[in-house]
Amino acid sequence: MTAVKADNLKPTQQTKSALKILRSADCYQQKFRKFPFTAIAHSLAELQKMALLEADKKVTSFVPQPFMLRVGKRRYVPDCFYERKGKKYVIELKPKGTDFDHIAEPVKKFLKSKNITYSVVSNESVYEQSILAENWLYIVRTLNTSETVDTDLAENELRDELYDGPLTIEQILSLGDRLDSSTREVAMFRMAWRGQIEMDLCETSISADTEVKLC
Amino acid sequence: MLGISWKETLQSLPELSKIDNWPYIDPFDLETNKRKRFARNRNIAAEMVKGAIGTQVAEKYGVSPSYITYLMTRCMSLGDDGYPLLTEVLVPGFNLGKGLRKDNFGSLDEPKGSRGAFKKLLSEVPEIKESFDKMIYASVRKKRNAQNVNPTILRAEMIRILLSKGWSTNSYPLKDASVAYESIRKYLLKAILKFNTPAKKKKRTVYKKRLSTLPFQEIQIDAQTADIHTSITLEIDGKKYPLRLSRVTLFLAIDVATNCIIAYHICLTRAPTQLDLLILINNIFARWSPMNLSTPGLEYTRGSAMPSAVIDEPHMIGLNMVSLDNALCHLASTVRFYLCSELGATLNLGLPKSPKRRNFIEYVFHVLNKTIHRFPSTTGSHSLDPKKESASNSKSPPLLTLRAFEEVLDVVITDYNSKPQKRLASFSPIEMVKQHFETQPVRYNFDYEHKRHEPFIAYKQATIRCIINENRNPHVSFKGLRYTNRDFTDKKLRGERVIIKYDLRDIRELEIQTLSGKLIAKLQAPRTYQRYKLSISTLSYINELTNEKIKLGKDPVAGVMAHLLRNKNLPQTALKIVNLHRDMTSNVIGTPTVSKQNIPTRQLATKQPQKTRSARKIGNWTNELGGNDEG
Repeated sequence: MTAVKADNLKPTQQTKSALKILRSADCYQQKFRKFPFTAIAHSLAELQKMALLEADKKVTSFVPQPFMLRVGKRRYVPDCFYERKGKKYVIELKPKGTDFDHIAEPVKKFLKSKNITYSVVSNESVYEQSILAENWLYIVRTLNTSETVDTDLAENELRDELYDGPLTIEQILSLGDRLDSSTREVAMFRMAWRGQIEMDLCETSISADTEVKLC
Repeated sequence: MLGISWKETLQSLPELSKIDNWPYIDPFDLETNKRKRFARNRNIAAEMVKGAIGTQVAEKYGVSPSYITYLMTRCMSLGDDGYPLLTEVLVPGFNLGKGLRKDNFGSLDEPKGSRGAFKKLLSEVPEIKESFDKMIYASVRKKRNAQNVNPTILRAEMIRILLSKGWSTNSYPLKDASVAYESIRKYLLKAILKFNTPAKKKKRTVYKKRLSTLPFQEIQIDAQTADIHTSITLEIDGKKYPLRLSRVTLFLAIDVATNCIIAYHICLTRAPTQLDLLILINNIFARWSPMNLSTPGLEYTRGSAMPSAVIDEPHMIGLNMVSLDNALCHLASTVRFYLCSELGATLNLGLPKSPKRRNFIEYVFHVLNKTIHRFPSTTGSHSLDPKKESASNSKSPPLLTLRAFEEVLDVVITDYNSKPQKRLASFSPIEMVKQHFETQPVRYNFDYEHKRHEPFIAYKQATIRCIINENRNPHVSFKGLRYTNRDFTDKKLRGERVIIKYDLRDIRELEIQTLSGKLIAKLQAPRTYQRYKLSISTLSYINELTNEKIKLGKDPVAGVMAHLLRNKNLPQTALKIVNLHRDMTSNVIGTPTVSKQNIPTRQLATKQPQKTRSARKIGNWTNELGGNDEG
C-alpha cells in the first residue's frame, strides 16, 4: 500500500498550489456562507457541490482544497472538506468511470485513522441536482450582498403569513417594485438558509411561481 | 440478386411500396447542404414506389429520367443483411460499395478491371501495409534508419513481399506492366500527410452550463482590438495638429439570457488593463443617457437604449455568473475582489483557448465588425485586399475622428439592443430585460441601497518605515514612491504592518489603516507628483521611461506629456497622449458615468455599512477552520 503523509490536517484552502490552475482549468471563484472567503472551484461540478453543501442544513462549514497530502511521491489535494452533524468528511469529485483507486484507497485508509470519512463522488451525480445547486447559488449571492438589511421584523411577518399555507414568490414580493419588498426578500432567503422555511428549488429555477412554505 | 431490376425487387417486397415503411432519417441530422437534395430524392422515391411514371417524375423534379432509374436501383440494391438499403441511399454522397472490391483479382486468362484491387491487396496481405507505413513513417520523421522513399522503392518492397509469399505472377498486381505504381504513389502521398499531421489531442469533455433564463444570470465579457484607425486634432500654442491614432480596444459585456449588450468601454490602448475592466463593470451600474451626437446624419433609432436606462435601480443590479477568458487583466486580484467579495458574483475564467464557450459575446463582436469594417480598415487577407486602407490614404490622418467613432459605436450598440430577435420570440433584448425585471425575481444587491460602487478602491499591506538618522517623518513606500505627511510624526509606528487603501485612478493620496481597519493617517505622494492626477498606469509608464533613462524633469507627469508630444506623429504615441490626458483629467468622452441623481443623498455616505443583527445570525463559521493559506 502506498504511504500517505500530511504536514497539517487543519482545513485551509490551498490557493498557492492552485495559482497555475486558474489559467489552465475551468475555474470558478465564489464567496459562500459556510466558507466566507473566495472559494476556488476547479470545475462546475465542484462549484455545484459546494452550493449543495450550502443547501444541506446539517452541514455547518466546508473548505475547498482543504490540505495537501503526499501519496507516495505524488502531491494530492482533495476537492472539499466539510463537517456534517459533527462528523468530518473529505470528498474528491471525478467523472464517472475514472480510475482513481490507486490514490483513493490509501487516502481513504489514512484519513479513516484521523476520523475523517473519504469518498469519491461522481460529477454526474452532482449534475443531476444542478437546478437545486444553481438556485442555492442565487440565494447565497443575494445573502452575501444583503448584509445590511435588517430582517427581524420581516421574518416574523413572513412566518405569520406562511402559517395559513404555502405562498408563491409573486405573492410574497412585489416584483414591480423590488426595493419596496427588499426586507421581505432577504428575510425569505435567510429563513430558507437557516432551514426555517422550505422552497421548491429542485425542479425549476427560482421564479415568480416558486412555492414557499413553513418547514 | 444480380440482374434483377429495382421493380422486381419492389414486387417481391410489396410492403416497401409505402414510403412510410422505409426507415426514417431526420433531415436535421444531415449536413445543411445535403438536406434539400435528400428531401427531393425522398419525394422521388415516394412517387416511384407508388407506381408513378419515371419520365413524368423526372420532369416534375427537374432531373433526367436516367437519374430516376439510377436512384431507385441504388435504393433497392441489397445490403449485407440481404435487405434493400432504402432511405440511407437517398442521402447525397452515400457510398454504396464503400470502395471495397468484392470480385476476385483478374488474371491474364481472365482479365478483369483493377478497381479497388490495391485496397483489397492491402487487406489480404497486411504485411505490405505494415512495411509501407514503417518505411514512410521513418522517412517523414527523419529516423536514423530512414530512406528517402518514393513509389518505386515501395513498389520494389511490395514485389519482394508478394514473391516471398508465393503470390501468383499471373495475378494482380504482378501481371500488370505498371505493378500498381499509381496506387502506391497515391498511398504514399496520403501516408505522408497522415504522418505529418500532429496527433489530435484528447478531447476534454466539459459539462455544459444550463442556458440562463433570467437577465444578469450569466454575463460574458471580452475585449477585441477594433480594426480601425481614428484621428484627433491636438491644439498646441494655438496651432492645430491633426493626428492619426492607433487602434483602440473595445470591451463589451453581454447578458446571455436576453442577448442584450449591457455595457461597453473603449480602451485607448492595445492591451487593456484591470482599470479598463473595472470601468466596464462600473458602466453596467451607471445609468446610460444618449450622447449629444455631433456627427452629421447620425441618430439613435427609436427605442434604442442600454439596460441601465430602462431599469429603475441600475446601481443595485446583482450579477451572477461572470464569464471571462484568462487574459492577464482578468486575473487581477482587484477584479476578483470586486466581483466576488463586493458584488457576490461567480467569476468563471473558463478553459484556455475556448472562445466558443462564450459564443454570445463573440457573435456580438461579429455584428459590430460589420459596421466597423465599413470603414477602410486594417484587416485584409493580403496587402492588396481592397478592404484595407490604401497606402496613400494611410499617410494622412483618417476623416473619422475618435469622437465620431464613439458616437457611431454608441448608436450601433443601442440599435442592436432595440432590434427584435428570433431567439427572443420577436422581442428586442431591451424589451426582454424590461419585461423580466417587472415580472421575475431578478437578483438585486440590496446592500447598494445605502452604499456606492467603489470598484477602483484597492487594498494592500505595507510596513511603516522611518529613517532615524535623517530625522524625517515616518513614511510608507508604495509603487516606488515615498508617501508621508507633515502631521504624521509618530515614530513609534516604525515597523508596524498597515493596510494601504488607494484609488487606482489617482494615487496622489492614500489612506493607511491598522490591520483591523482603523484609519491611521492620510499620506501624500512626493510634491513633484501632486500637480496632475496620477493613475497607477501613468505611474507605471513614468517608471518605464525612467528605466529607459529618459529625463522627465521635476514634474514627471508633465515630463511624460512633453516626451509624448515630441513624438506625437506616431499613431501609438498619439493614442497614448489621449489616454494620458483622459487619465489626468478624467475626461471620459462618450462613456457613461454613475448618475448621482438616482442615489438618495443618504446613500452617498462614505461610512461603510455594518452587518445587521439578523445578518450576523447567519454566519455560523467555526473558528477551528482556516480560511485561505494566504492568510
